[in-house]
Amino acid sequence: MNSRLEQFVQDHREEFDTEEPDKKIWEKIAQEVNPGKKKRPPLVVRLDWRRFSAAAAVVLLIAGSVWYFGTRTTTQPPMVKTQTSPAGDGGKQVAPLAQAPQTTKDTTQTRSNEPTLATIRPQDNKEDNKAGDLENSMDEEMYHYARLVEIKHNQLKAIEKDEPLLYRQFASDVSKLDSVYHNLQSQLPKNPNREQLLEAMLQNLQLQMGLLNHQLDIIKQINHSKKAEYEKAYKTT
Amino acid sequence: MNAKIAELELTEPILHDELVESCKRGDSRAFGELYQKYSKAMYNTSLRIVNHTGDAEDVLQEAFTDAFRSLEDFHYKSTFGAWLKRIVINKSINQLRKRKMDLIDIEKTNIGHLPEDDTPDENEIALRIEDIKKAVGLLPNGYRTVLTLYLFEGYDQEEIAEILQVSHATVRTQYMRAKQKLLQHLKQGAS
Repeated sequence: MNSRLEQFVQDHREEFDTEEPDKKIWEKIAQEVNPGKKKRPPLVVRLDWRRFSAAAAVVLLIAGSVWYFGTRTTTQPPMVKTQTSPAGDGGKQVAPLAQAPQTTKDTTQTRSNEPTLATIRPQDNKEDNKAGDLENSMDEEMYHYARLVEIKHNQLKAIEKDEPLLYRQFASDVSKLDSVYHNLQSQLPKNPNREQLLEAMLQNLQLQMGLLNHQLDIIKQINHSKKAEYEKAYKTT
Repeated sequence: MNAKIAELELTEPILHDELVESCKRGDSRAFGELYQKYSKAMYNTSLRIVNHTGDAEDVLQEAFTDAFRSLEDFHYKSTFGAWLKRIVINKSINQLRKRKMDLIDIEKTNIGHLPEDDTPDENEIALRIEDIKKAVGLLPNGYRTVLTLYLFEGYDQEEIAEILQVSHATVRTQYMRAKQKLLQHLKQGAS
């Protein structure tokens, strides 16, 4: 069947691809494949987040916490479970172990239900699903924490003008932890024990958040005493 | 020719594509690079099938968006390029079907228009890239789809039958007629 025409096309195959797509298409794709849903390193999140409005931050925070409680169901006591699985049998008491598989199944189903690609999807999903799911849920949990850290970080930044020294001190404390986090993250691609590493990264983010909370509390106290002082001075004059 | 295209795709390591892995880790720059690498070829592939720049751009956008969103389902069963191309082709065919052009309709309406003895001699026709591109664009949708999948995209007839959900025999006859018609256009264009 290899005639002259076929041979000609084969020999000049690259030369047939001459048309260029509109440059705007990439912008549209980049918008649609918004990094919001992807697992990303916190630093990149920080840069992107500046552009979002406060409203978007709130919406995502709520979505994040909804997700957070949703995935916790496999490890949390049954009380949370009944909250998050309204599809279950009403008030019937179900043993934790019996219900856990149901929730995990639900998440895998929604994930594999994406339209149009079903026919060309590779078949080897099944075996990867269990390990993948655990890792995904950890990734997403981490993303959630990274986001919180980010928001608190911005709050902290607000004092930079008023208390530059204090801010620098605080920021260097946080950045120490942050650099440990990035170190862990850079090990991730080659480290065979991903689960342990992810756990460590998660703990690091939780520490960062705890530290930031403390710092914000201190600032609150400072502001409070400042205000009192100001009021005192105002009254005496 | 199928062997050659398969070979081209295999020049990239099939087991590990660093760019794809970066995307899976959420590196937004890697998405851009992947797009730069494949967008032109994918756009031309789609354009040959849908034969309409606006539609081809829609397909391109949707295909990349879908591919990027479902990267975790890409397990190197083929190269990333081959995987992406299948998405582009499926979407292009859907786009054509949205325009209510059915393969079977074309098969029916074109019977009789092409007497067997009207086949131009391939060896007498000058082959030029621009002329061929133009002639492909003149083919009816069904013929054009089968012809481009075989001639340009390197799928064999069994694969095309599976992609289009038609019988192997239909693919064979459609390809023969499509090629015949293409040669006629080329001959008319030259004379």
